[in-house]
Amino acid sequence: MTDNTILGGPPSAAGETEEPTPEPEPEPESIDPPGDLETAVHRSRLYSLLSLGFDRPGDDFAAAREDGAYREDLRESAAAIDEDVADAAAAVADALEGADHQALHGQWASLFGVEEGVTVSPYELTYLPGPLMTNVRRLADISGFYEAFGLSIDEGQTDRGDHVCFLTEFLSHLSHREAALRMDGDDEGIEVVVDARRSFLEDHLGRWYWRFADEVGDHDDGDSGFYAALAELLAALVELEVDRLDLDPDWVPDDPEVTEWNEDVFGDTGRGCGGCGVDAGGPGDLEPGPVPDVDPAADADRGSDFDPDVGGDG
Amino acid sequence: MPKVENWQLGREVEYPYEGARPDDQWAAVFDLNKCIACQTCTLACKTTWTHEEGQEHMFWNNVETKPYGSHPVGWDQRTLDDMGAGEWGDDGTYEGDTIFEAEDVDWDDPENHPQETMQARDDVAGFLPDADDMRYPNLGEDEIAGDTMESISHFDEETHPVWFFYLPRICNHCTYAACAGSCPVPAIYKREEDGVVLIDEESCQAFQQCNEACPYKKAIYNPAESISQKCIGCYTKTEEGKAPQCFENCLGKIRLHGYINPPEEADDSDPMEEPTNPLDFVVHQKELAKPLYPQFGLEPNVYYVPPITAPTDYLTQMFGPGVDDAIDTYRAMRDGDEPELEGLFKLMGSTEWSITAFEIDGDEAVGYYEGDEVGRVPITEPTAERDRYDEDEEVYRLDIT
Repeated sequence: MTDNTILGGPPSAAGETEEPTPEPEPEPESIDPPGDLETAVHRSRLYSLLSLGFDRPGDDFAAAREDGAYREDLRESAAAIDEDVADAAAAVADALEGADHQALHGQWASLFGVEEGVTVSPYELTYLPGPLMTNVRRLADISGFYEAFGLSIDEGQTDRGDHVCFLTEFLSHLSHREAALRMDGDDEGIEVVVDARRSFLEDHLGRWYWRFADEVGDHDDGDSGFYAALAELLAALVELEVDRLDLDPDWVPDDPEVTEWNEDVFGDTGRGCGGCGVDAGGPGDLEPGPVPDVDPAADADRGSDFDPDVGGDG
Repeated sequence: MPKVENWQLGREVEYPYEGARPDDQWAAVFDLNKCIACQTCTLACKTTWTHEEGQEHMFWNNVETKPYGSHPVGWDQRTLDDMGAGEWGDDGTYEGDTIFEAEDVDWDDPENHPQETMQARDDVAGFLPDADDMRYPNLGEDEIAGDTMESISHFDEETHPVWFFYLPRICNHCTYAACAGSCPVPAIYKREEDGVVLIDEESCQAFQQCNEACPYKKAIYNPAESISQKCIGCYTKTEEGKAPQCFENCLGKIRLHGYINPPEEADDSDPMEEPTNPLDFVVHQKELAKPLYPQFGLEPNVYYVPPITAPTDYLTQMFGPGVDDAIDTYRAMRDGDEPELEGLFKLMGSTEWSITAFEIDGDEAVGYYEGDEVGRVPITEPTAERDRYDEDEEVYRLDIT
């Protein structure tokens, strides 16, 4: 502002004429997106089956179960992807073998339904740190992903977009598109959908799937243990994805306590009014679990064979 | 000597930069008689702009109860204390010191320029709010001032013996913004096209001079981003002709968004005859709306219609001289003696558009944005009265109006 006035435009923009333009950052080297046609198809089917499985058991799920297609498809697709995922899928198929519809429906309601106050939340926002006020943007981000790929939630669907069923269905859709693009040899398109899957996993499901699996494992007291097995399968698949896509998700805290305010600013006394986000408090009466990336001794105490640190063998 | 003309104080005032006015000046009228502190404005802003980590304490729009409420704590009282007492002359000239004058700094000396000293906040009256000061956004809410209150108390006086009022506050997009005037970088600037004061986040180096220098405390530090942030006047909306979020969402319809001229360039036309700039009409022609603490010396551009039942000594401290006349004008409007004002105040909140002109068309008030009609309301709402006894239904009605 040489003329000593506060009037003008943004100084950072004005600086461009006075300072040499910085060298443009080199474009990152193009690396072929990992994956192939076959795994894309199977991954799409696997995510889709997960979505169907985590939804309230209805006619579609019953039909898929009764003729054995659900178990068969699950085994087949998982086997085409990875050994650990295949093992997890086999556990799901086994659990499903003895399960009848009524028992599954009851167990689903007990875990995820409003019938018992949503014992385990299937919603991403529940697991994120901070009050709901600061997390609505995460929901907007999720919606942005859907919108970018021309998807929207059905009018009849009353669930929020961060429900695990929607997240997995979206990942199924991306994988399905990837398969179609690979058939067409559309490299640019493949890169777009793989990048989207990468970002979506890193920014969303990849942050909290392990917490979700832990919660379901802790609370699924049904005879079949279907939902605990299904959650383990989800964890195994996402874990493999994190490894194969070389992702570094920012883990959600394993402590369900809501940080009501920024404690750096307010200290303890700034919390507790609850006026903006008490609902984001997450599932109640949880046992605090260990942080995912800490010492192995703590992992051994977890009472779960799921370890988010151990990726698939890709 | 970089003195600038401040019409609100009736004299030139000290400021580190040369006086220059934007092409248009973003401005607002808030009618304090209608604010109910529902905080819808606060939340409309918060959910739009300050919902991220590091912004938890940040309210670009807040509503506080006066006299005891304040956010950050004591922002006005502490600044006034630091400035020292100042008097207004009979001709409306402010004779005390502004925040840039209180420390007796010679702003003409290049060594004292904020870009040289990099610590202009030490040369300006005021204080730096700390974390504790930001902690209580609803401090003093609904606390009464004046006498004690009994259940059988009745107020017959025009000025109530027991009182409080609500003060909604946003950035004033000051003509001589202290945030911009104190920034060492400088990263803060006033847009030439509309006078909106912005912090360039790319340039901000977190010197935190603005956090102290702004007497309204509306340049706020974000510890997560290590930059300061402030109200942007929803310029993304106003550029499209739409009123800012806190205006559009105001339930009490207390807010009017438009653009104001300095008095010598003010629109002096008659809204009974032709479209007239509503800001110029309310502020300059009718002198009904007043700037907030004009004695700070920054020429703030949010103009308040004083609450008519509060003591005028307090209001004069807050809004400068002319409060008594403004209250008389407001009462006259309520009595039907100011149809132009009555029409304009009915237009407030009736449209999501900014209003750059308005006129009275018969018994209707019409609002325009750059020539296009954007609002039309009856000055007196038509009423209908039904019979107390409905013969068809054979019932008595309790509600007949």
